[in-house]
Amino acid sequence: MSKHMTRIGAVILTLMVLLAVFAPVLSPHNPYASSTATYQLPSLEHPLGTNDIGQDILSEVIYGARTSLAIGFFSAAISLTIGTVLGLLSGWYGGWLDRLIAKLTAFMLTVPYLPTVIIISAFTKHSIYSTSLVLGIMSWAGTTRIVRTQTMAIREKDYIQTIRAMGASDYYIFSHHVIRELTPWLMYQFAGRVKSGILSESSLSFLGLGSTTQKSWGTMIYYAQEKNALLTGSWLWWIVPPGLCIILVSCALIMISYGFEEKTDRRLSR
Amino acid sequence: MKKRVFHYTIILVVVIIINFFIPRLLPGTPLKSIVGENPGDLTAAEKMGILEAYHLNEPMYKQFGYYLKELFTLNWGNSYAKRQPISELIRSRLGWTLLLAGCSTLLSTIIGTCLGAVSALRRKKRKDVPVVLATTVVSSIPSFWIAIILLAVFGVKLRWFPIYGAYDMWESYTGLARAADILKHLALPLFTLVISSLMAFFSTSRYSTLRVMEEDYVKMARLRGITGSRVTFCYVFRNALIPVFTLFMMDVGYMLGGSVLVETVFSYPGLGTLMKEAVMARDYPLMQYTFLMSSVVTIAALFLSDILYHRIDPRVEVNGNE
Amino acid sequence: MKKLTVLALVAAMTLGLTACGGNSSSASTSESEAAQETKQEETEEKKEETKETEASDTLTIAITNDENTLSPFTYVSGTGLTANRLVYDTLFTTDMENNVIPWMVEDDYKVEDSKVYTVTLKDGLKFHNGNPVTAEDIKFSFEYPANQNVSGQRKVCNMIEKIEILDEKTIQFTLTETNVNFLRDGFAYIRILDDEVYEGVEDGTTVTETIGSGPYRLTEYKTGEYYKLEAVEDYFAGDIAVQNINMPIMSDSTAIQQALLAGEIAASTGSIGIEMVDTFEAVPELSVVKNAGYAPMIINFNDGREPFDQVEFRQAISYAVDVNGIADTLYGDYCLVGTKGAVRSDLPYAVEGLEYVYDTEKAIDLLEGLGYKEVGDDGIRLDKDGDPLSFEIITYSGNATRSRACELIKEQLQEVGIDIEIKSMDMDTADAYIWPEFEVSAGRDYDMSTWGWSSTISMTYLISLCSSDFEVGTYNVMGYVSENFDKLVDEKLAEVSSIEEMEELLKGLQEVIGEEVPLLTIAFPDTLQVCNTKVYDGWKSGAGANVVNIFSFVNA
Repeated sequence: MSKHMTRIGAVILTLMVLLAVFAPVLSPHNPYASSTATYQLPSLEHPLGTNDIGQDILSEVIYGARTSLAIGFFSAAISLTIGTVLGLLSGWYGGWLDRLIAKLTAFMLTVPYLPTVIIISAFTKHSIYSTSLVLGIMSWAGTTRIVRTQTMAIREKDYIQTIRAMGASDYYIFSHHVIRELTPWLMYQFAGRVKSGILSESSLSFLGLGSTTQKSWGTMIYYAQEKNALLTGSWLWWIVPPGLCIILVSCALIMISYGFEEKTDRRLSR
Repeated sequence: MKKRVFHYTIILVVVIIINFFIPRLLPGTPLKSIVGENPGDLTAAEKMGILEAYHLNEPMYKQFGYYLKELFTLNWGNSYAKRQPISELIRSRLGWTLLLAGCSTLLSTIIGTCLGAVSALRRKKRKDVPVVLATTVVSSIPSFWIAIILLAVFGVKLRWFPIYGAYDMWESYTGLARAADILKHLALPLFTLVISSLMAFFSTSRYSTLRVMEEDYVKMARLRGITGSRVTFCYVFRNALIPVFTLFMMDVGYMLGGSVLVETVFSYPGLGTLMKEAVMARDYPLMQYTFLMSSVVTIAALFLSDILYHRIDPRVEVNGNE
Repeated sequence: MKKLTVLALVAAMTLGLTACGGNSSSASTSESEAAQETKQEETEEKKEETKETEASDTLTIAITNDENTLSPFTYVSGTGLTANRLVYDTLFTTDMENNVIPWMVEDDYKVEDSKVYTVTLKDGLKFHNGNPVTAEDIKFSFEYPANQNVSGQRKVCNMIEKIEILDEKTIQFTLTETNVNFLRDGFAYIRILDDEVYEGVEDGTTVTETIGSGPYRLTEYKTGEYYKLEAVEDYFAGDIAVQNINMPIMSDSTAIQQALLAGEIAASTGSIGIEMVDTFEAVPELSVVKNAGYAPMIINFNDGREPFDQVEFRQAISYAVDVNGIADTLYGDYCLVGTKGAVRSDLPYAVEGLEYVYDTEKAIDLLEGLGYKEVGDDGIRLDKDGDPLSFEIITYSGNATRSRACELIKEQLQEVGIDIEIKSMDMDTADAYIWPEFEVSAGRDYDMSTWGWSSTISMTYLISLCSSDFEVGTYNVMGYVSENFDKLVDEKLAEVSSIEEMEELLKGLQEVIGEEVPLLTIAFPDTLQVCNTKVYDGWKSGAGANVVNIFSFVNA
């Protein structure tokens, strides 16, 4: 199986994206349509039962892919773009730029999380994307610091030094060599960020700070938890399905990264 | 060294300033936490009187002046919502937080790094797939859910561990018994935190081990006839540790306030819940000083990592040997 | 691929290692029987433990919030009031039927014109530091809070014109205005302080000793961790059945429920959700206590903002929203459905016939009558300027039930062509839109919001909720301005001096808001609490009362 890691991962991810895109076609019910049949056990009508206000859980899971994937990918993209660009510049050029960026990152690392979440959501008026924005902005600093040290190490490598001496432009070296060397780590990082983006949504709700109105895997888990699914036995069809979706997405991303690692790794591909 | 001290002093100054403004940027007012249950019972004039007594309707620069004065005279005053001296509130929580955060950062670093390194060493034969996927699966569970499951299984069903508090509040143990009691209470929250922060250490250590293994000096060492395991331990691990170390130092500050969820589930008296309560109650002074505590710890960790970084930098060492 | 399946299974198991406690309805019978057996074994083990605890007579009761030193000036929420009441006594108190009864005073108290109240202290009252409770202490207790940062108690102090000590046990209170509710609002609310402790102290929060005259003495408090209470000797009202109460501070409701199931705690100041009733009832030593709640779940309109300023528009919404259905979905049998009168419909002074009617056709008629005839492509009605009828509803993101209510309302209003966008925010951010600076005269910025009041809706309360004179209507977060309501208050309020007159006015006011619908009162959810009857069987509770109350522990 491990030979086809990338392929399997890509298939799972594609399926998830298709689930999100074709949610209206695939879901058996309107996930927002409530009914008085609350806390139903799984049945033919509702394969995963119904939730606390009688909505069909299967349809919730299918529609949830939309918000969850969007939040996961947006927040990861924001975080990694800022983190990588700043880390590269800082590690490669050094000097005043490095010092400035180092101050900025150190500062970001000290900014308290909870109040910043509240402030950013208040300014973005709690739109769907505010969660991604918050998570992206709050998490780039770590990436920057690691990319910086790695870039510094890569810059010192003999072959890079040789290319530089031959007069290659910085842009060429960045795009052809530095990024290539960093890609495996960045991909794992991306997978991790997507996962924490999706999860953060439920933990923010757990803290009373989240936006609980969109159907997503995170909010489903939050509601199930609030309604004590664990103690009533309904966790099996209320928490496990969205939980498995989250696990599948992060595993798919990790599998793709794993395959990529092989392609970019000089030693392994040799 | 001087430069670095200067650099971090600037950051500290910015942090002190920001910590004054962040609480005041939050929508809402601390009035409710000052007056208790029913703020609507007060007349407008009474409300004004209270705001005045707390300097809350004075211009920002004046309030900032009071803040600086309090900060530097170490007279931090009382919390609005908790109505107790802030220094005492922080002191009573700090020990527990340091215990929990310290242990969990340390453990997750060690476990994550080892798993990452082991998986990297087994990479070539693709024997690492199960480890990679298992780590991914485990870390994809929300941390509060891990906490709740652990509580249900090991606390309620198996009764191996207590389910609330940092120690047995109703017994007074001493000596070894007390240490054992504290460890027992620590186990579940600690385990939860370790599981949920494993992934970052795992992937970073794995990546950097892979990188280092292809370095020329490692190959060189092999050619020189140094045995496989020695190469692994003396060269590979040591050098692969740098990014992990960076991550570790960043995690220290985060952990101080980042364990709110786990503290809440296990009723653990840590700084995280105190910060959360301060934020929710718009308790300006308590927010200022709890944030300051965690910021100072973060800055100190960054400073330390900067200094140590130069000590463990591999290239300097290796080049010296060649 | 096999490995993947295995991994998926592992994941499912990790998520699922949880068939614990309660009745897992998914488990097959044999499994659940086995679970029952282990449960029983556990209970027997537990019994041995509890026998021991019964000897030492200690109950462990979780408190859901850190309420500081529990003094009248340091507790912060209703939970604190509950715990504070064990330590501090009040002149009057409410019994399990929510009636006001004399507590520290003799039964022959005198009330003249609902304005002059004369009470005589009982014998044998003393504070935890040994000082006797004197008339001076009483006078002090009703005067001291006037300068403290305690909203509710300060309001009571403001109602009093003067307090005279007639003899060493008799005190006479003269109010500034007639107040038929003073026994409840004043006497059953103000906690009696020892003047020796607070005399000359400018800020009451700086007093660290917690000394009341109640049945329990606070022996230890660790911030963020626990309270320890110990019964006082020779309590005047009767024997105290439980010697010690340990209260760990636990804020997570799941952890509390798990601790209840595990028998680690005997009760909690918090309540449980309706979905948990069956699970707890299945455990023999636990019993679920259901009590009528007086705090309503409300939907506020911003009555000053177009189009909510039109009575017909609000009426249309009240027809379009299925209040009975929402109450049923959210609370099942465990609530009393609200009416347009805002008052609990089972109270003697509630007006009949103000029930909400779910009638979408009527709602559509009203909307079309207001000129909202055109309908956009998405089925949403357009106003005169061609803009869709689209509004925001603000709700607290920490409150799952209220968020669910918004989802239901959104769905129902869509049927009549009104679009709702739900905005969930943390409590203080939401309050900053709905009730900025907690001062209604400072305006408001919202369309609709979920809301709740933690108090019985009495006459004074209804007036403070709906009067457009913001000096009086200090809780009028809807910005409701009604000539009819204000006129009735102006004409009748000054004349009210008996319960009957008060009820008559209250009925009149209900008629007005029943017609003009300034808000939607969805339901009065019951409070459901769990207590362990094996460890202790003296639990008492009643209308509006927490199981953690003095009557549970004092044999009065």
